[in-house]
Amino acid sequence: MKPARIIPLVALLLAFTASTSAQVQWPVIPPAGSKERQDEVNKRIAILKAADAELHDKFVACRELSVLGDKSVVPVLAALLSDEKLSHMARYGLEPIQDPSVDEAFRDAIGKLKGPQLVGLLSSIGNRRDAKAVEPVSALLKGPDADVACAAAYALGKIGGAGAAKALEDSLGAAPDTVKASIHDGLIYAGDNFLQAGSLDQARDLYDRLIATKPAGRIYMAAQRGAVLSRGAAAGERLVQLIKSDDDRDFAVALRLVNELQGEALTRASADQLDKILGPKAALLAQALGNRGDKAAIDKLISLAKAGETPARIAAIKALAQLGDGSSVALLVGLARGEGEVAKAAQVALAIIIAPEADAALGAALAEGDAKLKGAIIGILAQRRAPSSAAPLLKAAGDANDEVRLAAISAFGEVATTDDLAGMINLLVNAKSDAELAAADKGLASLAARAGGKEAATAPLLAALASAKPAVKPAILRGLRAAGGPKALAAIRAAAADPDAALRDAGIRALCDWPGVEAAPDLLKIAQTSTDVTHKTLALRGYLRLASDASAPLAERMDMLKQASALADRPEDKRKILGLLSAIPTPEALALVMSHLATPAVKEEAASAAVKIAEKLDESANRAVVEAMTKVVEVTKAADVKKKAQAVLGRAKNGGK
Amino acid sequence: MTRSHLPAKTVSSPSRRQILKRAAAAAAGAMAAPMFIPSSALGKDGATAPSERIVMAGIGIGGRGSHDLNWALSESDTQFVAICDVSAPAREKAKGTIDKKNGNADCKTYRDVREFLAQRTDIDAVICATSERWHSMMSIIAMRAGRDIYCEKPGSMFITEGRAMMETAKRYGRVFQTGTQRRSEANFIFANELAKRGYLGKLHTVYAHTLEIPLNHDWAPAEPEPAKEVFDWNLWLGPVPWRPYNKKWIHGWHGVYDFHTGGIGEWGSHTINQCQMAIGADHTAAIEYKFPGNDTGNGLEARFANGIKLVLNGEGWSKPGRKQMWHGSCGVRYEGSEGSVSVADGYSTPELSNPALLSEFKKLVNEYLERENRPLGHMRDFLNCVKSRRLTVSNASVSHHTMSTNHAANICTWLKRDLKYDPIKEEFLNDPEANRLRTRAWRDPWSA
Repeated sequence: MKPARIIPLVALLLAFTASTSAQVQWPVIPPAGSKERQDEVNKRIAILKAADAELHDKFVACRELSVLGDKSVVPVLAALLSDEKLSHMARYGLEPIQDPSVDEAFRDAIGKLKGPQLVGLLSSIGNRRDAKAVEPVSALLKGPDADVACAAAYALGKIGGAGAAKALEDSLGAAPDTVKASIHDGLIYAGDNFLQAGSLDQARDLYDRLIATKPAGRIYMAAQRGAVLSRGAAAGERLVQLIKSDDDRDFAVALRLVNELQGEALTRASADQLDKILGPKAALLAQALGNRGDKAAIDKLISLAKAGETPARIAAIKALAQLGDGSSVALLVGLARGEGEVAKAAQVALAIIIAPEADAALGAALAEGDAKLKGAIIGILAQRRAPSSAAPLLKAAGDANDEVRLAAISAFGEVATTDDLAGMINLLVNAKSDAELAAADKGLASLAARAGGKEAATAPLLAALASAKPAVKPAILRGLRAAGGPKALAAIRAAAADPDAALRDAGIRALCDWPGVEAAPDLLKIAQTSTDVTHKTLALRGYLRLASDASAPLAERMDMLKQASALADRPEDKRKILGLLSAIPTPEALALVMSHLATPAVKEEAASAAVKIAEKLDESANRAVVEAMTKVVEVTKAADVKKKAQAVLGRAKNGGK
Repeated sequence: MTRSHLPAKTVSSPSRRQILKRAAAAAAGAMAAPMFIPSSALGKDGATAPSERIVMAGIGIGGRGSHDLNWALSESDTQFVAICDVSAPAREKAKGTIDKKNGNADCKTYRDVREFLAQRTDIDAVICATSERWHSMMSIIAMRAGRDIYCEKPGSMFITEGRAMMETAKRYGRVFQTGTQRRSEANFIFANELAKRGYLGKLHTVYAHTLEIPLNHDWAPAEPEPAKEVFDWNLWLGPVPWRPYNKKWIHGWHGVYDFHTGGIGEWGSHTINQCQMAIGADHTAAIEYKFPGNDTGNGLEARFANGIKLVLNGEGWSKPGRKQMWHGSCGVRYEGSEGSVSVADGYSTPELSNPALLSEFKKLVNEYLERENRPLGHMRDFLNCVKSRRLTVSNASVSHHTMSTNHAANICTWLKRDLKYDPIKEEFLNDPEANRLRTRAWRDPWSA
């Protein structure tokens, strides 16, 4: 906060300082031209003119005049441009005001300022792009102050135009090295201004002359870039020259432009060079064309992918995948059948290429080839996850080769939709090995989860459960658990009570994993009554999982945790309960937590949970908090918990203050 | 996804042809590996490093910067050689980190960035992790000096400054990455892909986590200024208005108008950036801003030309009894006609209205990485682009345009009125005061 003070301008500042205090961002701005607006402006002008106003108040006045001010503030602010302490803030006030009087004031100040103030002034003149300032600013290029000369060079560059560019070029020969670098920058700016103004011929000549001076690398590359852009319709020709150049800097500029610039003509011009340059460069160019994303490069990339040096082929294959055009799919499938790095690259490309043709082509390819190729294609189809691939994968799941069959079952589980559920169940029922059974089990759960409780998913599973052999039923129950829905839950409940021990075990386990709170009473009952220790433990943990749903009402969660607390024997379960209770800021939760403070295995967790709850309770619970925190302070060995407990205790004893 | 980008380290300076061949050979090993140009092509006038590592330096390496520095140091194709910082203790600390990594005491330290850039022409790229008053200006002077730059967010303090930074990157063909690292993280990529590829149906609303930090114009009395070799106060201030030294500002600049872009810029530089990526608005800004009736921008609604609404949400932190857009920090939420996704820091997986879509996670993330030829890892993306001259995933145009939305939202809250913005002309419509707030004069001698 600004320190309080009284100065003679009390009447003005009382209103003004309010706008400078914390949390107030900008004053309310009355409409332009209104008396109220002029009053606001006048208040700030008065501060700027007051000899006894504090520096900070003058700063704030300048800042606010940058928004409030009109031409009436220009002479006031301009008078401060030579003030060492206020020069910048005067520019701060003036620079945004779109009135010619600001430019006049800045030009007028050129001959009056020197050193840092003049450097700053030139920055503002450049930012405002005042063409009338070219002549006086040009004169500063050859002045004795190098900092001023450099600032003048930047200002001229930003202003741009033929006069500014000529002044910069004319001064280049005699300039010392320290200034020459800034003049080069100024010329780069000036060239850019020509480009933006559409003065391509002037830009081209400027860049070409600059390149001829053999400037430093940073300037050379910027000029080469500009030289391409200034060619307009002929930019492609110039770009090709850079691609072919033996100078690596030219090639770097070309790569950047291929990545950056739009236009089919440029794509074609670049792609035409793929078979005319050295392998490594071709690879780099192919990569850039892939990143560029223009399908106009496809034909040339296909040619490169077919023949050439391996790195270039690989880069072309990747670029084809990026471009995602169906015309390259046949080639990629063909390459994927081969051996080595090119085949591997083609397989990766097929996995990610966004082209519907790829799924059909891969599906067809799956019917042919050896087991190795089939395995690769199955892997690709699993990554692509196209529903249309389900049919060829199901067919491959009947392949004579064990590995192909297993891979196809796994992939089918990832790709299949609800429509394919019968096929999935069939794979499960007819699994030829434990591995196939496990893969089908996993696939069924995945597919059922994606179906998400839809009747279309549940009905076939229920039908299969009724007729399946015992070894398969646990998997179907897991599928039903993943599918969800009331009918699935009913079937799982029935299995959990089945006389057959194996089926009962599978039913209870499915119930313990059930995602919704509707299974909570079942789990509680199992935890309370089961004679099987494993089932009791699983049920309690499932129950706690349901109790951890933060979106459930607090009272419901509290009730569940109370029930669980009465059942929990193991320290890890008690810890879980304490963790959940710590997020329930009620006296009831505090009391339950405190009941665990005497249990050695979890006393520290109980102490920590009690503090977390107590910190959030309001004054109405002070009595319980004092009692609880007093005990926590006695019991805990954890210094941070004790410190927090003492703080809460002190606050509670103090009535919440 | 693990990728090796590094051509084998050599003991002698290789020829250009050797370098190209080595890059090609490295790329041949794994299809996903990008190809690189030799470092002699980075504009250093032939000052090629003995190895093909990227020669780097850090500027303003403090808390966040230490993370960035360690991130870059962990990449095998970087070689840190210098630190530039206005604070002597910070210089020494960062030097210690680098020297420890390099196993020597060779890291040089500099106080003044002008001196540093002029003397160290061997450096390819810098990391800038000053606070935001310096971000654009540092990027501009570094790129103008021929260096590529990874610069922490927010990318700018005001709209015209961001434009100057973007134009510098273009004009000099430099590589710039703004530190919005979530663009290169799988959870956020997945959420963006769901939005971009129609899995959520027709998008209508995106929510961006912003913080509730209104800006102030606080001031503090002068304290004795340290010797500039110890702490250079004038350089610390850089291009923003002078004020007397008071140590409270050094770590207490958040919320101060001259130093900070407020709670909107603090987090919106990440989250609005994410939202604009998700809705395909990387190179534009929102066109309408509705004043939410508070100083923090919480609840501010903006609209893009494609009709999608952006809502700033300052209440993303988990609070009992409140409907959550997300749980945790730096969250975004995208809503479409067919569903929604929320994601924030610390999520194991994004939250989806249709959890079955999680089965698409790996596929969508991998397809994005391969299709866009991007790595997981924001620093890695920057380093790859330094070597391939490609635009980064959060390049200067992305930074400028997404920060324009941040700045316009700030201006809306400052002026307490609805605004309309033309992102092509970069002007507010019929609002001279808002237009003036697009710009601020830089303090001498700093200029773009």
